[in-house]
Amino acid sequence: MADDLSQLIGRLRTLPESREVRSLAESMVPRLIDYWDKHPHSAMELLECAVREMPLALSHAVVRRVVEAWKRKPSYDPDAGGNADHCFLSALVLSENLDLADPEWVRRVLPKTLRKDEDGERLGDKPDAAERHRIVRALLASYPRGPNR
Amino acid sequence: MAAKDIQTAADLWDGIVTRAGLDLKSYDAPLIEELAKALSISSRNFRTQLVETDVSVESLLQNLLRLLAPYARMMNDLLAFFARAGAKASADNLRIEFDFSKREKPLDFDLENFREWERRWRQGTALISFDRLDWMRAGELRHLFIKAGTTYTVGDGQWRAVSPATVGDGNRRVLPPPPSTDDPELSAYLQRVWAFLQACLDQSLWAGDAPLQPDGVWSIVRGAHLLHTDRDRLLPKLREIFTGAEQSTRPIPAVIEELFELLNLPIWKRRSDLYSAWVGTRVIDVYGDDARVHVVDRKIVFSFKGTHLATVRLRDGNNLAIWCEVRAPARNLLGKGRSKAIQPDFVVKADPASDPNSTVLVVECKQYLRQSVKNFSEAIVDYARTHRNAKVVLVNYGPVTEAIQRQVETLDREIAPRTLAIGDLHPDSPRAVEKLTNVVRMLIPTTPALAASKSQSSSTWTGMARLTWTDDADLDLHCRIETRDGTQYYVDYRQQEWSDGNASIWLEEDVRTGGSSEILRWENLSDVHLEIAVHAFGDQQTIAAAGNARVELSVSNVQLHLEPPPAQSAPWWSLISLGSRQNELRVLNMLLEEVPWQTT
Repeated sequence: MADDLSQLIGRLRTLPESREVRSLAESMVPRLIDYWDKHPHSAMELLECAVREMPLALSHAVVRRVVEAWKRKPSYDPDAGGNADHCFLSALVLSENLDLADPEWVRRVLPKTLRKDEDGERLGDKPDAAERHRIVRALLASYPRGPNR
Repeated sequence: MAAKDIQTAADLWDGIVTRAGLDLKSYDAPLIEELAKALSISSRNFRTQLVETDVSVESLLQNLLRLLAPYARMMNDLLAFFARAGAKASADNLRIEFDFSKREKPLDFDLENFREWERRWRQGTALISFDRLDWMRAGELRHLFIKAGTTYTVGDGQWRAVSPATVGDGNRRVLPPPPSTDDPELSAYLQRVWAFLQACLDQSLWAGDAPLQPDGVWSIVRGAHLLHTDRDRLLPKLREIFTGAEQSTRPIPAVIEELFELLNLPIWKRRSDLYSAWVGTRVIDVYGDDARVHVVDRKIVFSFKGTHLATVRLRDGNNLAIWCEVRAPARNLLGKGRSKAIQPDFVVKADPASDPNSTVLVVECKQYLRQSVKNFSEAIVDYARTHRNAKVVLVNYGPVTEAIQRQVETLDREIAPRTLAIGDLHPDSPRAVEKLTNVVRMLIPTTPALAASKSQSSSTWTGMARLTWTDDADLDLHCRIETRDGTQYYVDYRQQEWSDGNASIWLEEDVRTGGSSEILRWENLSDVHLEIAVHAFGDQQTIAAAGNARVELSVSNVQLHLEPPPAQSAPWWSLISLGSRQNELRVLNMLLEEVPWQTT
């Protein structure tokens, strides 16, 4: 299933038509939802990869759909993916779905998550890179770090 | 005529008049007037006008439904109020009685009757068609109405209307009206967005799950009210989202049949009572859980004979009593029909309630489409002269102009500062509702204690307010903290820190001139109520004079960028209220002459 999803994500990069991207993204959703049951770690990694290849607005819809379904699973736990937690949070940040995460979990995982996109290099020539880089920078600037005392 | 045989607007009108038994000469005359105005025709010979101007069935129907829609929202508010009151009083089958007039029999119904009427009104007045967006387009639509992640950016003072009507909760199933915009294309798209959102709140319209759950719907409602001025951002994407969307249309005969049924419901025949009750419950709701609604023998009564509707517990141990239709002896009255007594719709009395001068607030409800300067101003003067310590507020369903206030001043200059007329007070006018709410909140001598609430969330909030300005002036952030037991604390340039266990609020630095940032932060707060405001320090200073004052607020994962309301000048700028009974964020954004809270 992971190979299958990886191929679909790879194809996202090459599709010129937004209609085809939407159709492909739609077909990925049930696979991503199901993949949680097999391997949450990889499911989180693949979700982040998919988000980076999709336009921002579309990724917002897709991630919301997937994560809401994950959250309905009895096995759901944001830490179930082990050290892929930052992938999961990146997917939420880069799709503008931060409100789906528990604030305490965000507070814990956010520093290492934001660091990887701080310079914008990994966003590179991906869709909506500038907008996503702005989101990361805004979060870096405004996320409260606690009393400086 | 059966609904299926209706071919023209005149047919439809005949059907409405006969099947719904409209009283065109008196009770329902304002409805015709309003309908004629909406259709841009004369209300005289209304039927003939419909024919001569070639009004379509759909147009008449849509305009009529639009006029009826506020009543659906009123019923939705009242249902939530009755349900809460019933639950608090442990009254399984709460009964309600409207007995506002001795000329009519009381209207007695139970909560289940009312729930059914509300459902029929809500469904019957729903838009005739909506776009059946799939979950992906719905998600893209949601994305359109957020900005920079979970940031709502506000560019002007207009968004005050957002609160509180756009804060959805489990009981609220009718949307506030969409934000108004001068751009006809954007306005049309916002109507389509609203129709879709309203459809999402009705699970019966969807085979599986609705494409948006209520939290998604309310995110869009809030976002739309905040971002609707950003035409360049919204329009291209709205065009894309709605292109090719499947339309779902209710058959016109079915809509007409439902309309006939609605107009025959007893609650429609008593809509003036419905309006008065709605206004009264708006007053009571300002106090949230601190107001105890009096349910006697499992019944709430709104009676012209005078009913003690609710009691508000104050922090100092005193109470406020909210009465409906309480009669007070009076002399030298101006108003026609009043000779020896006055009987306003609602009064709020402080302790002791038996003291004739204990009334602190009078609210009189009018349901006129066109104001009557004489009638309104005389009522205000009579009530203010009789209740000598009270603020007197006259509210009207239709508009009011400054002529009312001018006439009050002419009649009695002394009482004029204690009086106010609020026009367009109905659920589609959140700004007017907010005005009434503010009057009620500001007038009460003591802020009610925060009641312990089981519904309060155990989560904590973290956030900050960053104040910037440009000129050589001293602006200060002020924060009032009210703890669960009602104790108040203040954080500002004098006392720069407050903490209680893990919870803390602190001012990073007292900045005394423009060009830098003054920052207030808070962390791990729960069970407290915060109010945050900005003050222009020094004599005769104003917020506007400080130059480009802005506040960036982060509240958990929501950000607001606030600017003071334009074209006003005052030393205080009230920003937000946070916490409160429903753990909610309320955006205030008001310029004030006085400190926005009662200091102790």
